[in-house]
Amino acid sequence: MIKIRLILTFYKSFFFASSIITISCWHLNHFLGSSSNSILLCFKVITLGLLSVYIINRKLKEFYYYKNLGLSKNSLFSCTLGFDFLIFLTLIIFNSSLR
Amino acid sequence: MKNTLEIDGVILEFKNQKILQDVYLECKTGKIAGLLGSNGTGKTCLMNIIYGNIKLVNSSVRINGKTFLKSYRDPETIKYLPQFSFIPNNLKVNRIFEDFQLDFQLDFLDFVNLFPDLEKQYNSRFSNLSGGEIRIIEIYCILASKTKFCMLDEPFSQVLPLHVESIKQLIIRKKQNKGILLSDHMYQHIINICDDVYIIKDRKVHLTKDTSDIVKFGYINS
Repeated sequence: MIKIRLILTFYKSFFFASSIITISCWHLNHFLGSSSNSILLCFKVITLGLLSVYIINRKLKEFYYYKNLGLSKNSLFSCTLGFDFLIFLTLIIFNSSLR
Repeated sequence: MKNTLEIDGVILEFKNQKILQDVYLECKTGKIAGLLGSNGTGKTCLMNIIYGNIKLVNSSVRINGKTFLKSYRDPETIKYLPQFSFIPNNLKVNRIFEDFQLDFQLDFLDFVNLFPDLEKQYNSRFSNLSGGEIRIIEIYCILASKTKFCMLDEPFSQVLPLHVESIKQLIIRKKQNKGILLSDHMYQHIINICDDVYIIKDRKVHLTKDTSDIVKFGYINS
């Protein structure tokens, strides 16, 4: 339970920026149709990569906090980025099912 | 149970310049090991090697003879206080105590006994605390949480002299069930409370016998 709360705390640090990107992609996909899927997928992956670089530089010292509590940098990123990407995919699939 | 932390075989280089070689350091449950050395001699690097943040192919970090093969360190085995503030400043003090699995009844009251002027800060955000207050909370959380070994990098810096004495008292109390590795330039505190004092000089780690050795290695004047 503590680990989930820690992951959520970490996720909060880029949740806002990531959500804006996801919602923008979802809207674009809604108007442009399934032909935009691959471009938006690439865009989302690139922005997640850029966000990760930003977080690594900005929160470098805080990684000691998470590591002292049993969460390595890799596990933090794999959980949060994986979850974020899953939301993105779910919304794109949801758009496709509406067509 | 008595545990032993050992490190050896370290060869650390930056831009073809050797920083550390011929290293052997040992820390045991019930003992405080102090690490001294001039700036840039590799004290923090050595702690980061032990903690797995610096990966070297040739180093061997062992606990009870078992070598760490990966950079991950179980928090119940070892915890590390870096020389800078590392706790996210949007968190509240009570949340940090919970994260470190510290009990309000036992641990916070013990904390208040040691640092009475921080009693009212239990519900404060880290961003509202001073640098010294942040440092004290970080030190307490690392030392009081369940772990076999604690490494403290410059625990006495930024801290009020009155609180330094409380921190020393806490370290001595916590060594009963932990091994503690300390590094600080306030060498008198290190000499006062450490059972073993190591000094890094000429890329090597030397175990000192007494203060005259520290003078001999040029860390302090006679």
